[in-house]
This record gives sequence, structure tokens and C-alpha cells, in this order.
Amino acid sequence: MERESVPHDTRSMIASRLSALRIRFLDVLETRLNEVEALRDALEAGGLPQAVREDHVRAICFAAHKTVGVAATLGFADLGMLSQRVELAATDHLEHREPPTTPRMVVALTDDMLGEMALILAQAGR
Amino acid sequence: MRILAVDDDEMILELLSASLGAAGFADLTVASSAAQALEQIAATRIPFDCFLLDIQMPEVDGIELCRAIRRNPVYAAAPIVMITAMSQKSYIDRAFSAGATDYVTKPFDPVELGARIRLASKMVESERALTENRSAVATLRAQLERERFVDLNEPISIPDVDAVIDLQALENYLLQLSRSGLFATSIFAFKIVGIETIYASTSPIDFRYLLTDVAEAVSTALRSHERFVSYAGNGVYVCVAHGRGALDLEVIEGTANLIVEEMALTNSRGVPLKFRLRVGSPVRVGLVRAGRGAVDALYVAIENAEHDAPKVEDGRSGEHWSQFRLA
Repeated sequence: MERESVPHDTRSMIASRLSALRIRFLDVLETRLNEVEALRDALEAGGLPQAVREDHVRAICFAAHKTVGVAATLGFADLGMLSQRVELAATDHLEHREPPTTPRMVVALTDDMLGEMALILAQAGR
Repeated sequence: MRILAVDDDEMILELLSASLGAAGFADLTVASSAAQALEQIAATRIPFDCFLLDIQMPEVDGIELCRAIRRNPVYAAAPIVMITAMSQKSYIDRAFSAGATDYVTKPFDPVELGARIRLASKMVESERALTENRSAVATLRAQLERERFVDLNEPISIPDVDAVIDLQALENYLLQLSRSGLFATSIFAFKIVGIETIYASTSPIDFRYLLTDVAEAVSTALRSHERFVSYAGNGVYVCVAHGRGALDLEVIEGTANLIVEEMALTNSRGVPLKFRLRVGSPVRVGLVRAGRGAVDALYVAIENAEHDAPKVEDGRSGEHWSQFRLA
């Protein structure tokens, strides 16, 4: 699509509304970080029945999917990219795609995503 | 413009509200599930003008919702924009098959989203203007003729034929495909030979029926491939087909002609309509033509069909097509 010229006041109105949403997003991120961290720890500890393990991967995948949808639009492009990697790896694992993606690989990518979430929250003084 | 946005993520709904509000589209209704959206559609007294649908939602997904909205005659031509983090080709294919008119991948740029909705808004406005013009027509017959009038060069909509979508929707579809999605994609077009003569000698209604029947023949001839077909005007149907290995266009052309022959088409006075289809040289998109390049390839294929087809029947009209019968 060709870029059309957008009035400056429209851009600044969008920027101001996004800035309000960014604060809401940080609240969501705080809760999400804790939830995903608990799932990740359970996966790493091992010993879970396969069905439970898959539920955990599915829950991480869902959280990553939600993050992909909004992170970059709100100015957190790196988090969006890292979350997308988690979503893709978790989907590959759940759908048994080749080459195989192990839970350990999902955990490693989840660590990168959680690290970025923690960094964003720290920079926001939380 | 009344917009209904459907997403199970509250943050996305807030983002849409902020982005569209700033772009001048303040009349936004939101729903957090397909079921809630359908309730709102049923309850509204003033129809919505445009829909923004997320794909991945629990229970009924956005693609099924798109299909359900399209089944409602009020929304047969309404713009439906899919907004989703799913960029895999299979989701894009399913969305356009279900009747989506455009596709925006999350994360979206709020400014670009505004531009897309403005484009949808123009579609709504022109449809509305057309409807108002229609009401001014004096007699029922004249009104019917006017509704059915087809300009020879107009890329009209052909509804209810499997895998046949509007040309604008086909362009949007190609723009959304990644380079890998375009791998092993062929674009080519069929032309009805002698379309000018047929157009001059048939009524608008008969002409529209003929275009629909031929669309069905072309789509059926390609049914063993993943494909989309659009009518591009001037008797040309442009096709996008996916599949490894080269398509045997001679066989596909023969099959399409056989199907047309077996339809034994006539006009409303019972006069047989005899013609044949010629396929133009294909454009293989390959790995290097994502985005605008893929859309350009669409128009190259249309030009090829225009260029390759004879202006009038060239003596192959009696050709025997039965060797191309489908299994």
C-alpha cells in the first residue's frame, strides 16, 4: 500500500493515545511475566505428564501470541520479535513439526522473552 | 462509518479504538468473541459498514465468523479486514476464501491501519452511491437492467463460485503472501475469444450469467490445485495457482473448454452461445517477487492473455475437448 501523508495532529493524537495504553500494557506485562515464569519453571523441572507438559507449552504459546499482537505497536519491537520466536517454536512443538522442537528449546526462547520483559519493566521503574 | 471490531484480547480492542479514533473513525463497536459479535449484528438497527476480525479466537475463530457475516445478505459486499498475528499462508488463504477483503498483520502500524480503513470506507461510499442511484430508476425492468449492467472492461464481482474472489481482494491476497508463500505460485489468465462480439449481442443479464458460468468452468478446471480466480474485465479471468511442478496449462485450457462446452450455454431466448477460452502465457512468481511485484505479475498475466488470444475465433472452435474430461 502506498504511504499517504498523515496530518501531524493525527500522528500526535495516535502517539498520545498509545502512550496511555503503554502504561496499561506494563501492568499486563507484569502479570504475564509472573505467569509465564511459573510455567517455564515447571517445564524445566521436568517430571510432568505429557498432557500437562503440552498444556504448559500451549499456555506459554498463548501468552507469547498475545504479546506479539501489541508489543511492537506500543514501541517494544524487540519484545515482539522474541515473543514471535516463542510462539513459532511452541507451535512447532505442539504440532510435531519437523525438525522436532523440544520443550527445552521452548524454555530457552522463553527465557529470552522473559529477560526482555524484565528489562522493560525495570526501565519503567517497576 | 460504523465499524465492528472483534478480538478476544482487550488490549487489541483498546489499541484499535485509539488508532481508529485518532484517524477519524470514532463509531467503533467492539466484541470479544464471535458469539458476541453475531449477537450485536443481529441486534443492531443500523447495519455496520465494515468489520475488523481477529483470526485466533477461542470457540468460533475469525475465519468462521467472516463466513457467517458473508452469509447475511446485508453484508454480502461489506469490507471485512482480518487483523491477526497469523502470517502463515494457510490462514491467509482461508481468510480470503471465507470472503475477507483485506488482511492486516499484527503488530499493525496505527497510521497504516487508518489508511486501510479509509480504503474500505471508499468502497462503502461508492456502494452507497450506487444504491441511491438505483432507487431513482423509474421502472422495475429498467432498474433490473441497471443493476445488472456490466461495462465490458469492468472487473465485476462474481459471487457464490468456489475460489472466485474480487480482483481487489486477489491483489490484497498477493500483497500479504511472503516470498516463501509465493514459491511455486503461477499466475496466468484466460480470455474468452471474441468477447466484444458476445458483449454486443447479449443482454446485460445474459452477459453476467455467462461470466459466472465461465468463472465456474475455470475454477473447476483448476480444482486439483490451491487456487484463486478473479474476473478482471474484458472477458479475462486471472488465476493464481499454487503447486510444485509446472502446471499443464494445455490440459487446464482443454478442461475449461470441455466444461463450457458441456454447459451448453444459451442466452435467455434459447440461442446457443458458442465461444472458447484461450490461456495466456503464465508468469511464474518465484522467490523474488513478493509484495507489489506479485501484484504487477497479475497484470502481466492479464496482458499476456489479452495479447495471446485471437480477437475472433480462429478456426479452433470445433476442437474436440473430450480428451480433457475430469476424472
